[in-house]
Amino acid sequence: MKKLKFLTLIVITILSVSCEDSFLSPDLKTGTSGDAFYSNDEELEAAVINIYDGLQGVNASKLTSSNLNHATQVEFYVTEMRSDNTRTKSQEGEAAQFESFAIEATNGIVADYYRSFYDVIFRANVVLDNIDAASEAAAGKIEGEAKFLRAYAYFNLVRLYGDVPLVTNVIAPLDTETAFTRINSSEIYALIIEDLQTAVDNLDDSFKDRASKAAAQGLLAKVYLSLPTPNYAQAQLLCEEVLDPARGFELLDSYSDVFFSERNDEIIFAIGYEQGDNNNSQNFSAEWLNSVGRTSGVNYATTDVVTALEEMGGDRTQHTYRVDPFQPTENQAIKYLPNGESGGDNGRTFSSDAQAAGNDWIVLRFADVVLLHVEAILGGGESTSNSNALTSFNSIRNRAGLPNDDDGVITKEELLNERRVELAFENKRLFDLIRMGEAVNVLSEFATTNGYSFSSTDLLLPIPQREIGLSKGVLTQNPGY
Amino acid sequence: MKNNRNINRIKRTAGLLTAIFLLTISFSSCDLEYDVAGTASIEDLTPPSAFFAATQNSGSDEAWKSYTFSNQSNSATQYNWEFVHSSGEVITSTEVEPEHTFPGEGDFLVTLTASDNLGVESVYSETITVVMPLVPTVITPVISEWAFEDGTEDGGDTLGCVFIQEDGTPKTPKNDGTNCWRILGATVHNTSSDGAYTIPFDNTSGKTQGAKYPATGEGNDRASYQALTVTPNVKYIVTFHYALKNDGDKVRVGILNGWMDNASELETTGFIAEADGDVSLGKNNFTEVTFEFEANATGEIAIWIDNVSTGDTYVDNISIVPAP
Repeated sequence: MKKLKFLTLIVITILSVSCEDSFLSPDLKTGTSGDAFYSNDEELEAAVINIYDGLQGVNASKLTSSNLNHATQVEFYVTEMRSDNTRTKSQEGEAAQFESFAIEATNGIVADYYRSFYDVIFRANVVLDNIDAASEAAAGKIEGEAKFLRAYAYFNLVRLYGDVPLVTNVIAPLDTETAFTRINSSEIYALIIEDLQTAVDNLDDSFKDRASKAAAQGLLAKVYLSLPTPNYAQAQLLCEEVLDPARGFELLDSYSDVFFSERNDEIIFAIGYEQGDNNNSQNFSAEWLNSVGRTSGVNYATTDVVTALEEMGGDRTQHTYRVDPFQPTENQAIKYLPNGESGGDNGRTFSSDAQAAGNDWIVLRFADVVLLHVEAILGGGESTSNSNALTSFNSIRNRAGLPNDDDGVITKEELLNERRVELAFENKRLFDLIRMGEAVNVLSEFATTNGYSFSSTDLLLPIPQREIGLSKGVLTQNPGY
Repeated sequence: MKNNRNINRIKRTAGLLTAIFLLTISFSSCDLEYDVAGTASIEDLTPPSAFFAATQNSGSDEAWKSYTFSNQSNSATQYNWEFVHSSGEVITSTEVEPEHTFPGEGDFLVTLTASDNLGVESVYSETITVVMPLVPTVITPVISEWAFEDGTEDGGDTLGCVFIQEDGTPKTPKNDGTNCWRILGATVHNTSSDGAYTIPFDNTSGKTQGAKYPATGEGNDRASYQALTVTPNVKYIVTFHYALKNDGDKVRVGILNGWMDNASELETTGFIAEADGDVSLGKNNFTEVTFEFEANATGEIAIWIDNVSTGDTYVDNISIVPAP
């Protein structure tokens, strides 16, 4: 009997020891895992850089799997090529669906952009979910940077796709409801504003190719102007803070230097690329030229924008587009010539690898904010003669070698035109038209002239069919698709 | 002979085959033709759904009467729009996204019938209320105690100025309305019987009360402050009257770029515009000063009055009106 008790005791002891949790799932001791990685400032900093990597996108000319995310590198397809500014050179393939407002829900670029920016949001959420691991000194900055980038991704998504799923932390693979339920755009905008306010509070102006206070303020001003009921006063105040000369931003004397001298005083936020580096270069510079990239040429200037540039561009025109040297009936956008090379006599000969270009993509520059200031003062009206608005407006015109506004009254049309020629081929035109309520007017007229079929539902992209398929019926399509 | 028979047989067979072939073709083509009649024999799995959004046009003159209709229907190929005018007249359109001009203000029923090629229909109606947009009104700010009078005319404290003191309690209202001009961190002006003459300013009738600011730097510095709301970014004209006893003295009236809680914030808040009165014509001899300012983004501005002087200085009759 005594022996039996003793044996029982031994068995129980063995059982209780072997029942420890980690017995079947021991901690990884020889490598890194997501659960254990984000444990200090340095590791969180790496996670922040990882968000920029997502935004940068993969260079499709160098890493050719079609399932990779190309993010910013394909943005011109879904923005500029849906405006009256650009089109494909030869009207071929799914890229040509954009210019003719005939986009299919199965369009691969639409799906690419969508998943790229949700990937950016996922990467930002990883940082925010692990923010507790940061030291007190570093936490604010890390949080501000992640929230700025998350807000930027949502701002692009909500403007392009309308109501979209709202994911604010890392979700499990089977959480279909969060991943696919479309949330009213007013709630998406509420998160964007909250995130940007945190970024404004936590960041300073020390970077141009990373998030900064000025970038958050400028972007927030644009967000306030993009709301269904715009907040003009807040937008104006934010612009005025960035316009303050003490902040160190200015219009460069030379317009072409804005694009070909990196991190200059006019740049507020740009996405950095490295020339010749397969993992950190971009190929959109090459795609915009004649068969230099993988396409025969996309994002070519329309006759419509060429006319506008010739009439209103001033000194900017010669630095904005050129006649394609290889095919003189066509016109090319030249703000992002690969590594600053013109391509020789035929526009196709480069000493560096044009498909691995290092030109940074400018998201926000000072001139944009200066014109947003005018827009905020205009306040949804038809015209303004406010002296601060005129000062801002004329500074843009004077830099382009143009005289002051002729009658001292800035109309909405003049402002839209000025933004068009100042910011041509910078993926701003479509959003400008939508924000200022002129998209339907301008684009239907453009479509009629060019034999395209436009309707107001074309202002939103389709929700990618592939996402709808994955959603088990939760994700719904936009009207008109 | 044998060969001939064979040839005949071949001919017959060929003839028969041709006949069969022709018959088959004619039958099958009939089949094809009539098979189409089987429409709607399978269920319409993607029935149309009608929906639209209307946007009022903006711009010159009559543009507000026109609306642009955004067609947000799904799975439809034909559209029929009906716009019912108040006269009972019904205007129709088969455009995908028509623009429609209504006769004027009022409620109008708009109906969109969306149908697909199988004849399945969906109907959506909405009443559009057409209202002429209000011309945005420019605020003319009401300045409490603008004439610095005692009593109730032009507001003693009848305009309800409440001044909260440092200890959190409201200051007892005074007949001269100085509560309208107080701010923490500064001593408000004296109410003096040596103000400017009656309004409109004509320098002939009897004098009224005004604000007095004594010599500065003697521990009796005074200043006046009043927060106002105006329309953002609009141009305004400020008018005031002043009198000085001594040469070299001056009074200042300024428009502050925001509201303050304490006079110590004066420098950080800053002026949008200010004007000095520095012509000394002696007590009771008032001069009119006019200056312009453009309101800031928020429309939250304030009046600030102070002086630098060796003798008494006087300010009276402040007005702020939108520039014409």
